[in-house]
Amino acid sequence: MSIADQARLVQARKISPVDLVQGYLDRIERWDASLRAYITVCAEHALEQAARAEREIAAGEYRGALHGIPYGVKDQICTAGLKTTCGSKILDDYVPDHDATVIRKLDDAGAILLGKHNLHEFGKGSTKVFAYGQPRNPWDLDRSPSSSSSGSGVAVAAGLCSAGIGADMGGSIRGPAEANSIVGLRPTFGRVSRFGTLAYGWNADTIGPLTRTVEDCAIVLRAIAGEDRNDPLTSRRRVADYRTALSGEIRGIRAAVVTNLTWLPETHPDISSAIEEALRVLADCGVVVEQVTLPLSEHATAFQSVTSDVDTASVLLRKWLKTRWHDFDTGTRTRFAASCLIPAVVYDRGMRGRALVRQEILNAFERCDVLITPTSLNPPPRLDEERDRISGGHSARRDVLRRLTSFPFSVANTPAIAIPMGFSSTGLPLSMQIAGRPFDEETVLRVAHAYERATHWHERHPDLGSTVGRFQRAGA
Amino acid sequence: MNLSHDQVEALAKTIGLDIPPDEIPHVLRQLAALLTAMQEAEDRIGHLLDAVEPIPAVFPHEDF
Repeated sequence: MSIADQARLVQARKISPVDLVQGYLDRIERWDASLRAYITVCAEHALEQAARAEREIAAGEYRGALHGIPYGVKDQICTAGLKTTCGSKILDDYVPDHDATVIRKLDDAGAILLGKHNLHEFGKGSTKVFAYGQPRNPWDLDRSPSSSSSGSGVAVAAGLCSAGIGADMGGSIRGPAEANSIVGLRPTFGRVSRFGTLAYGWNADTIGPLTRTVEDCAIVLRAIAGEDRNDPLTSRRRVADYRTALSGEIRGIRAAVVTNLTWLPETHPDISSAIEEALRVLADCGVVVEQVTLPLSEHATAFQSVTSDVDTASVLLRKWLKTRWHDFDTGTRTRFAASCLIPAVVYDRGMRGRALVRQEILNAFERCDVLITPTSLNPPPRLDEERDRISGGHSARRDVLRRLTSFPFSVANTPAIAIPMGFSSTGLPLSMQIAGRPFDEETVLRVAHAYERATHWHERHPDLGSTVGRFQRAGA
Repeated sequence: MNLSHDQVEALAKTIGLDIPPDEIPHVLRQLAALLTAMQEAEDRIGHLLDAVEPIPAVFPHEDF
């Protein structure tokens, strides 16, 4: 059930927030030993909050669509009094004394924190062995749930919370949304405060929602967006009522599919077919579909890797990399040791490259309203294939291809949403990415919502009895 | 990009990072991949990189 549906029932007092929380706790108890979406579950706190919400609503103090709605958050985002590990043994005992701004805002909206979601170590997507258990894709537990907000993607798809809050530097919200067949939005940089997030890619990290529907995404974004004096890079721009932007009316909107980020020799044939069908659906909805080529954006992966990873490594080096090398996962320490060794002149060239890519994308938005690509060129890989990639048994080309579609919009710091686009011939999730002009989340959400309503892919959910059961029977 | 074990070890020591010898090949492979990708960009669009300033796209109050 979506947040929007739950909210209607909560407001009408046909569902109690306590029952909602208990329902999720029961599901976590039943499924999460295999899925490993959560690092910490704060059951007692959540039930207390739910009881308080129930009292408030009964007293006529209904706060809005998130009142009494349970959510989880990537364990990279600080929660006062509740362990925040970043998925690392190094922070196993770290208990922040403050809430991140997004947590405070969701608390103000009456949402209920259920727990902290599993992630790639320090949220950077190279983890080989997870310190808190391997998160698994609920559609096929031998497949990757993508990175790095992996647990958030799994938890939302598997019905272990109503919404997740993730962080996206290069694609860490959109990837898990793609792999788990849910909705994930990377907002414009500056739209959502980063205060209280242990992420060090200072000019690329963003915080955003992972949800089961586009409408839910709009509801959560409205609650967490806005200026924050604790984050000097948040925008003063007005926060729109994104939900009212979901008019269903998208006739005349100009969409351009980015051909060189979509149809490559390596693109999986099921994704080629699905994106062609998706473009037909959009055209049937009245969208003017065109094509564009963004050649500079093909270098976005390199530009982002030699800059944002270096920003992160510069902090990790002093804090822990020198002194606690063996406490890092091997994938993480390899990635950040290499980043530490990037020459300053190469970093500078990467920053110049990012400015070029951004300008190329902004120029494209002079001719169209949204840009479209698949979220990934391939369905979720097997976990053993992903570990092989991280350990170095792979080609550099594969690494570039994995990030080819998401990194350009991270480099450009524009909003981009991943939404379900169907399933492969073997039943694996496929996803479409829709990117928009800076701070034009309304158009991105409106197009995504109209497509979602026309296709109904969001109504399909993993059959955990079958997928988890098969995994458990295999003795894994 | 051809890098040697000794070069990577020496580079790491300049910033006080002691990488265990058996892990240097992994770091070398990762670093070489990044530098190779950047060299490919230089070969194709180096002249464009010269002509743009490296300003991060993080201005919260600008009009787009």
